[in-house]
Amino acid sequence: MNKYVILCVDDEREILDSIVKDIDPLYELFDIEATESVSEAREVIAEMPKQKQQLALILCDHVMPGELGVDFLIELNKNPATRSAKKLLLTGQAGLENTIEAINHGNLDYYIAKPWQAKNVYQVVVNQLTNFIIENEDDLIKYAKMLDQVRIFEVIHKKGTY
Amino acid sequence: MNPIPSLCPGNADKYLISNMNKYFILCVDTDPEILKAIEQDLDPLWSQFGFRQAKTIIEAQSIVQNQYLSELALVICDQVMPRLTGMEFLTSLNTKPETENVRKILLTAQVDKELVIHGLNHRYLDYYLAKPWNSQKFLDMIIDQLTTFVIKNDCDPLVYRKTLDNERILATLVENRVEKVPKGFLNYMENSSETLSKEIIQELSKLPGIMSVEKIHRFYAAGDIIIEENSDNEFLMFITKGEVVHVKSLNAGKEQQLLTQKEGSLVGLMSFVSEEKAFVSCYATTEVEVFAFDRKTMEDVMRSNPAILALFSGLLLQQLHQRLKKTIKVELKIQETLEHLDSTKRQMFEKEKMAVLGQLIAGIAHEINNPISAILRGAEHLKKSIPKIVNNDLSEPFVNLGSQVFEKAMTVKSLSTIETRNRTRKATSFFGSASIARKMVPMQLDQKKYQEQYFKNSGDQLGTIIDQLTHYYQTGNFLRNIDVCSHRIAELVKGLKNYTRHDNETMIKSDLREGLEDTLLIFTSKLKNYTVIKSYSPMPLVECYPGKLNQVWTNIISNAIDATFQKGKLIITTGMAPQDKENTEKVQISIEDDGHGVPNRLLEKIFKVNYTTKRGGSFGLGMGLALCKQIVQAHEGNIGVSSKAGKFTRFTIQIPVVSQTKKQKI
Repeated sequence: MNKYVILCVDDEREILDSIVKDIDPLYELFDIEATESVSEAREVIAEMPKQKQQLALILCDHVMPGELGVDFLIELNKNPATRSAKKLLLTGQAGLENTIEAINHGNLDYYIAKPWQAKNVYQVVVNQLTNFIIENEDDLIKYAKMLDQVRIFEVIHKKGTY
Repeated sequence: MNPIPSLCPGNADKYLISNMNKYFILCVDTDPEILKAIEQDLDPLWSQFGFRQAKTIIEAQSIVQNQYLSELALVICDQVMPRLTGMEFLTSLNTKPETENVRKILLTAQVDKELVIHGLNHRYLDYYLAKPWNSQKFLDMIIDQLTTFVIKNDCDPLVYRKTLDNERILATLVENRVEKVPKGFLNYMENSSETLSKEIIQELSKLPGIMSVEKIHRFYAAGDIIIEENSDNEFLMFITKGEVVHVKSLNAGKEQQLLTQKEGSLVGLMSFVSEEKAFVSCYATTEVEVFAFDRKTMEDVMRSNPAILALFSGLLLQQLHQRLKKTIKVELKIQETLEHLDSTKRQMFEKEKMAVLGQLIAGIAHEINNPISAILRGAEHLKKSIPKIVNNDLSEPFVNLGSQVFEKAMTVKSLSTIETRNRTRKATSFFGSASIARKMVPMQLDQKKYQEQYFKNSGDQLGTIIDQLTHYYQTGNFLRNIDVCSHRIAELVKGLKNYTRHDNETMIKSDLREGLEDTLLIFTSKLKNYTVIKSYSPMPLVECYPGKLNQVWTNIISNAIDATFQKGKLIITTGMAPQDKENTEKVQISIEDDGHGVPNRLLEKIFKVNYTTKRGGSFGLGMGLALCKQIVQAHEGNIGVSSKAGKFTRFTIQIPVVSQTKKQKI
């Protein structure tokens, strides 16, 4: 069991399978959880403290039954436990309003348009996780090999903890 | 013999020296019996016409030459005569100016067709009479010929109206009278109003005996009302100075200024002529002087001086002409404006359709984008996982297990994420490793029997074996995903094709529920956050334009989506409409949302063109419901709305099962 969790949320199972598969290599250092709805995602997030786990990154679809991805990301931003998590919106609906709303609320870190390319998504996720680790984790070395090594070592060098 | 009643200046002396008839008729025949018969047949004419007879052409010629007290009007001549034929005699009359106009009738028993045709064609002959003749018809013919003669040659044919053709004479007289009306009566366009009015003022001032100018001269100050709308007007007013304006009152106290008139114009014309109440008001805008004529004065003036009558009628016609021209121009302008409005409305409807279409396409793009993404990603993963299952180094039992996993993944839906998580949790303690558990669970190999049969003794190889089995699982799973997604796209495209189907000119029988379903399908992405309750009761096929009705469903559903702010409940009900007065069989579709509702005061307005409460970013241009109404009405149906603010809005559409017109174009 890893300290940090990556959560993927999409109501369409086929999409969810693909995205999980795309970030599969990160399993070594992160728990990857997939949920088919926002309510399910909430439960998973609520479970995390018990397991001494923390949400590091969420990849969330926008248009889902019942709730909108953006609304959920805003909700996560209000919650101290999840505020620091990197929030990525994944959507085929390149609606300007949604994007603006998300960015204006300062809780969206990245916007991925469907269909995506595996390499790009992986790269984006790695970059965002690097940011998260640098901001939140002391033991940077552990993550250097899977994430952006150059940046992580720069930070280590500056901190002088190496 | 009657005295000559006519007063015809050119021939006056002839009448004065004799009371003979002005015209005579000459009959030429060798047979005295014939001459006698003619005289008898034409008896009614002798009160006004003289009768001369000749037995030979020579005799006839001498009568013609010696006519001095009376004129020859008509000659009846037998063809068969000694020395000269009748035809030759009549032809000779034709060559002389004094007898040119005489009506010439040839009488014969021997029909020489060519001769007759020749004579008629060259106008030597006016009539060919065959022997024996019918007395009455003969008299009628002669009367007809004489009428023609007097109309053409006499200045006062009215004298002959008792013996000849009264109707023709009168008709001619009227025509002549009109021609003889003083010059300037009909050529009113030749003179300007200004000239005409000056002349009228001049002529009026010459009439001291009939009326005094003081009596008819009136003065108004600026702002004075000269004629008031809807009141009686007894005067025709002729402006001699100043300017007046015509004003028509409209609804709600508004006024429309119509035209201004200056000196030389007539005021009160319409009400004076028609004797109806004044149609418009007339105000003085400056100091105004007029001559005001009441009916009596007008008649007196006109009678007293034909010159004024001519001038006045000229002015009258001119002003009528001007007003008519103005009216026609206004009508054309109105027509043009209406056409422009019409085409603007059509364009607006087109734009509305396009706007809605654009929104729909965006929704559909999203709908298709998701499965496309999954297919693209799936194909990408397959490229990697297939070589791995082809080139694995697993032992046969594991290859067989791999095949089972592949088969299952390809045909059975994946475990839900919740179940996967729960089972992974259990399996972790079972396998002693979370990473093994999370790989085993999706493959559904997390059961004791598999553990005992396959993995118990794998030792160090376990991790590699599980990874290789995972490739089987993923290959199967992605193949299944691609299959599912392709079908979804195919369904969408099919729905789209149904939705956008092009309507023929004639209605077709259609199940309206199918159209509703097609419409809902293209709204799939927009309706993800909605509970859609469909309450479809059986109903017959309806004669309709399904594509047009889809526009109706689309507009109403998109309105519902906008009214509910992308979250809520949609209730769609179909069934038979309650019976109406006409007993027409109708189906009824209602679409209800639980949105903010429409305030009562706005309910009537929403079907009007360009009515919208929406702001940017939502569907359409505010034409949607107007378009819906138009489409429903073209189906002879009706559309209504009921709503409660903050609770619901329900649109109800009724459409007759059988259309009366069937071919009405929308």
